[in-house]
Amino acid sequence: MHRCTGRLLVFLAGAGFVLHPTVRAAEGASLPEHPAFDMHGGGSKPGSWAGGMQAGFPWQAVHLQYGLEDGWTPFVEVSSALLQRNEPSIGLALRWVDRPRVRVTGEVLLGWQVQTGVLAHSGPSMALRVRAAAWVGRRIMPYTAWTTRHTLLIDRTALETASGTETSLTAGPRWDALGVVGVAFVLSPRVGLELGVEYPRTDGSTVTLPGVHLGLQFGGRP
Amino acid sequence: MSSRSRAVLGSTGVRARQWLWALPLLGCSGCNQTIEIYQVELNGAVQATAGSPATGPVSVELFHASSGEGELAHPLEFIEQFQIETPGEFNHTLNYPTTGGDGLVIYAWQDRDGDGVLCALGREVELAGLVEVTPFPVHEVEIDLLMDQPCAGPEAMFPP
Repeated sequence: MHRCTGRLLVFLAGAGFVLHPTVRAAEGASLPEHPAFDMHGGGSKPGSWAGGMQAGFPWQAVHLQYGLEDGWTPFVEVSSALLQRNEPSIGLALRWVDRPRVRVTGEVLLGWQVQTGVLAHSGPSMALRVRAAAWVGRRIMPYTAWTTRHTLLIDRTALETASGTETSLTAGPRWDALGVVGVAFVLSPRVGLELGVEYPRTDGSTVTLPGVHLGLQFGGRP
Repeated sequence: MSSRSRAVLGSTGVRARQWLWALPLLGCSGCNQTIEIYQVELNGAVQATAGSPATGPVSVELFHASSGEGELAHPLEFIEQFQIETPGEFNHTLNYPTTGGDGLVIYAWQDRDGDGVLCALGREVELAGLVEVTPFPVHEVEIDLLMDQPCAGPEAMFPP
């Protein structure tokens, strides 16, 4: 209960900051290049960078990206569920739709899934993600992101027969999906604040409880 | 893709290739578990008591004699099941999971009416039998299993 109240206060403080006069001066900035747009719409303009951090229940994440030419953006990302399922990844994003107020991006991620606890496992993973974001007015940007992640879980089998022991490796797939819907707010020309809700699907058949998070986005040109 | 993007991605690819030699060293460092299997050749015969029909499939079920530790310890942890067409001789290769428990118990019952259920209500009386393999583990097991207990599940016969 205290945790939820704390998050609500942080959100209200952020929303209040958006309406502050110093923030209104940020409205003159070129909104399509705002870090929140780069993070949630996906991709960065050539030579600019953007980063983001999110904290919530159960998901936390850190993301950092750098824009190349022709719509390509490499990035690194670490996401975690309660620090028990950790997914470090590197990725490459390509902006499919790149309009001043609308952006749609496809991403491919390669990484590792490491889960601790009683259901511990780990394995290499690949994920595909589609992001979409659009400006509503000059300070608010709804966004969505949908990810499908496929992890290879490798086991070693030792077969002891009368003639000796043979070992072999077997691999089984694991599928996780995550849908996120949220809204981002402009705090300053280089900083954004967002609130999002997650709809996860864990290990293929398990529909888990939705999550919620607050995030900060920031960026600029080096 | 522009030449600058290609250059950045290309140099990254070169660096990645420099580390490819490390992949074999990783081996199974990312393995989740080691599954230990002890292969057992089961040979023997399953017979019903005299006077019972010679036909009808026999369901053979294999169990660990005991499994779990402490308060979770229990007998008869199921391993696998197979069928033989009629009572008589059989052979079967069992991949025994050593981490699942200890010992080996073989249970069989004859499905005289072919309904897949041991002694369903209102149907025929069906015979069952059980034998514990001792000593175990061994790779070659010879057994003679007599089905002489009417409508008995494995838990009714083991532990003896």
